[in-house]
Amino acid sequence: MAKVITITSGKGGVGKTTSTANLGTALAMLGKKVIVVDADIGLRNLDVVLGLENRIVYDLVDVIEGNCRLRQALIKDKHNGELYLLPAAQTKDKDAVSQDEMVELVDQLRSEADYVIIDSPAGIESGFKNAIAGADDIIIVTTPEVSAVRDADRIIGLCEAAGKGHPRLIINRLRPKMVRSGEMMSVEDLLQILAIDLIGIIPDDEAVITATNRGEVLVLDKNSKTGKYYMDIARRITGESIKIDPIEDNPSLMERLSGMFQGKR
Amino acid sequence: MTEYITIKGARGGLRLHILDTCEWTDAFVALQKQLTDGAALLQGMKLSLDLGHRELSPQALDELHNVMRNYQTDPVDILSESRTVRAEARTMGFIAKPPMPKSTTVEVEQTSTVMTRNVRSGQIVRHHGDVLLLGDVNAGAEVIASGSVMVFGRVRGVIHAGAMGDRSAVICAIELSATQLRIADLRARAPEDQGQKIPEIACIEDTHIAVHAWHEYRR
Ligand SMILES: Nc1ncnc2c1ncn2[C@@H]1O[C@H](COP(=O)(O)OP(=O)(O)OP(=O)(O)O)[C@@H](O)[C@H]1O
Ligand SMILES: [Mg+2]
Repeated sequence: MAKVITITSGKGGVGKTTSTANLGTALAMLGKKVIVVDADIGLRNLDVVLGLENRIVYDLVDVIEGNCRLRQALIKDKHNGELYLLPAAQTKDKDAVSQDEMVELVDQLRSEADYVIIDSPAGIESGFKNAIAGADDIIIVTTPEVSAVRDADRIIGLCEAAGKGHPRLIINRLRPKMVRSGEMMSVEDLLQILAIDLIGIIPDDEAVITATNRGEVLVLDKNSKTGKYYMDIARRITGESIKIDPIEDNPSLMERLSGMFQGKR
Repeated sequence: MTEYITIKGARGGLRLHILDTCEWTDAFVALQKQLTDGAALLQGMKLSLDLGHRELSPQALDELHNVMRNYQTDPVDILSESRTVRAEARTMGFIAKPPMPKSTTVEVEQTSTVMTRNVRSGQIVRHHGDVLLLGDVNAGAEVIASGSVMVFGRVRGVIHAGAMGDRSAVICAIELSATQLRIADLRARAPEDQGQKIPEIACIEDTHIAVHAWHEYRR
């Protein structure tokens, strides 16, 4: 029976789809059978990030409306035989699906995999509610920006109200240099406000964008540090306890010098 | 001064008991004032109006119905000992019941409540009485109480104490970086520099809300 995890955020564009694709792939690389579900109906994206958009025949709404069987709609990943995508419908609008239908669909998926990862749309409306309705666990993605954190806080409250236990947090697009210079909120600042468990930190990395454009995900690149950070999160999802180290970049000479004068580092 | 209106917290809402031994016009004026003064608190709560033994003309009930319907969208319950009043109230769309027998009523004048939680963005906590919160009130969250609000945590949201007009209510917190403080009918905005990270207390002094460091505050 699969564990169902929904990736959500409140604010748009903070890295839900990127995280879903990378974590789905990483879990599959760990030998787990994984289905990633694009619940962003009307704005589908996950297929593009995984480079699978040309293979779509049926979608999530087709399954719910009974136009096809579930297995017909699942698309096998290019790189990994253990990873499947259930794509969102592009032409239907987000109200094409009800919460009950979503829960029913998720229950059907449970017997097909070890992990079901659902990519939620932004916002707090019906699309978001559908995406969390069938979830066992929730992972919240935020960037270190005041508006994203405010939305994450709102979402955490809504998840708690929906009886979805203790969501965990991915902090995405962190820039250590900006944190050091006081221009960006630190991990500690974020955790102090949101008061939930951290499951991982992902740096801001241009390679995410180039990988996305190629339809490849970063975890496939053995040399990518960011890919390794995603792999660590996947291991934590499977229950391994891996310490969360502060993410590294190389402080400039000036920074190191001024750090020395302030008695740091 | 005659207390025309007594407010009691019943389970899941508030019961406004309207004195049944005075002139209706006096009681009605007092009710309207109470509803205005306590709007922040009352509009989010389930209300019932306890008319006691008072007999009311259909015109008076109709007036009451109009006031309540303008006031909030949730239906308001009418509690009355009088069968005629109950019947008349029902024809207007009120839910009308006899006041609950004393033994089964769970109600108290004003209670203090202890809550262990974080109030997150978009959430509102309302309480008739004092609130002791062990946790944070985050930006975008609100706590509204008729009494004082004491927070063992950080306040970055909005706190409204004395929400039914009590100017002696206070607000205190381990860290008071609220976006807005309200006590009774007064408001204060947080100072631009959110410098102080020390326990503070806010209270009304003459005509404004003053904020003091906890260790400097003299009662
Ligand atoms: N760690 C990162 N470093 C650099 N760019 C990133 C990072 N994570 C995401 N991005 C970029 O940010 C953009 C938005 O990411 P993504 O589509 O994953 O967000 P989303 O939360 O799914 O958005 P939406 O709310 O629109 O569904 C993309 O262009 C992506 O490449
Ligand atoms: Mg997305």
